[in-house]
Amino acid sequence: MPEPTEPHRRIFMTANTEEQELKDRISLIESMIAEGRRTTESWGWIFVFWGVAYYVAIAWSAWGNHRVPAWNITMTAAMLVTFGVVVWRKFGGTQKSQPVTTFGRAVTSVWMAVGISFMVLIPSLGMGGRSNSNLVVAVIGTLLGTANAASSMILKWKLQFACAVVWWALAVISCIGTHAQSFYGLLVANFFCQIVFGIYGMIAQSRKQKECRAGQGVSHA
Amino acid sequence: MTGSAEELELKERLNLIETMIAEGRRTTGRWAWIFVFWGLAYYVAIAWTALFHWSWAWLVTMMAAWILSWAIQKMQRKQPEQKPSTTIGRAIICIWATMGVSLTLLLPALGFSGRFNQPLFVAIVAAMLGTANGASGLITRWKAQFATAVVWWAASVAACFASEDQSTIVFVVAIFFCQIVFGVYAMVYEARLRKQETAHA
Repeated sequence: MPEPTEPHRRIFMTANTEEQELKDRISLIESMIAEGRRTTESWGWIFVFWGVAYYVAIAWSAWGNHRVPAWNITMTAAMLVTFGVVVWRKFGGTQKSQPVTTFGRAVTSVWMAVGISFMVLIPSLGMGGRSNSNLVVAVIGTLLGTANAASSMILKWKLQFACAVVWWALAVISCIGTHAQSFYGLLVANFFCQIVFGIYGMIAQSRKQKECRAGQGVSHA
Repeated sequence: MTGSAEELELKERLNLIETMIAEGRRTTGRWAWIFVFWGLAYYVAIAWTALFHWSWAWLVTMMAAWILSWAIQKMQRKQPEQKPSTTIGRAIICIWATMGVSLTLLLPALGFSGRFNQPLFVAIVAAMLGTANGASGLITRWKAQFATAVVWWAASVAACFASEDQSTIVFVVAIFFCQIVFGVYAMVYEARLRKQETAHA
């Protein structure tokens, strides 16, 4: 068996280094995707919170005494609470905030843009006199479908994509269905895509925190 | 030692993120022709509807524009200088793809149900384009693109309070600034970067 010549050895080494670099890059991207999912999971409470806020607004507008401002008051209160918690977590929280990854930043940008569209479009439709319950539910379904689908595609998260499909289905049902169909559709979509998905995110996050603490305990021991 | 190693790793990570953001802007620059192309397609549809009062004008123009842009991007992908997409580039593509799916689902559903009218169409399309441009602008930290998002959101609000004709004017103006002007600007930006790269090589 002849010994490999110097140029051959160099080519072999370069190929090896390139392969290693590629592997490192893939593992970095995978860890960033996992970190992005963790970011979404750490915001699981916000899905649940908004799910409950929608239910309060629905119940208030359906059975309450002051039906007209029900949605406006509930949504404004929910927005203020969300804003306050976000600011507190960012600047004054007791937990040390994790550095933001590219994936986390991308997902945050998507949700921020959708939030702005929400605040711009829904009150304007109402004040412009173009709003009706079916249309509002269709717009909510479309915007939440877009946000969940974009986030899930960025994070390669099938469960969140399933939520997007449910929201899109609700948007179509609200356009072509009756008032009652749209109403019940919203109740069901809200339950699965906000409450259930949010609780799932919260459980996943607390499980990972526990694992992390257990791992730290082992390393200290 | 550990502190400086961590600092170095953090710097490397920041550098990587900065490179990815720059590459994300370049991705938008490479797709800038599509802004101009769709801007012109909207103009064709608006003019066709206004002049000939044919109710299928929008559907036919949008379908034709979709098929043409798909064919052009297929040809573009075959070019040898095409670079692999980065994380941020992929995120931007995801945002625009989901925006496209949402509009494809919502607008025909509104049309079939008879809830469709011109101001509502402008308000929804402008809000969705505002969302996509806003998210892309935030990801790539590109103020010019975020400014287009603000224009689209303003158009969305204006359309809610406008008459049919007023909403059409609002739409035409927003298309001009956010599709044509921004598209040309992004094309120039990308061409300038490509020239710089060639000069360095």
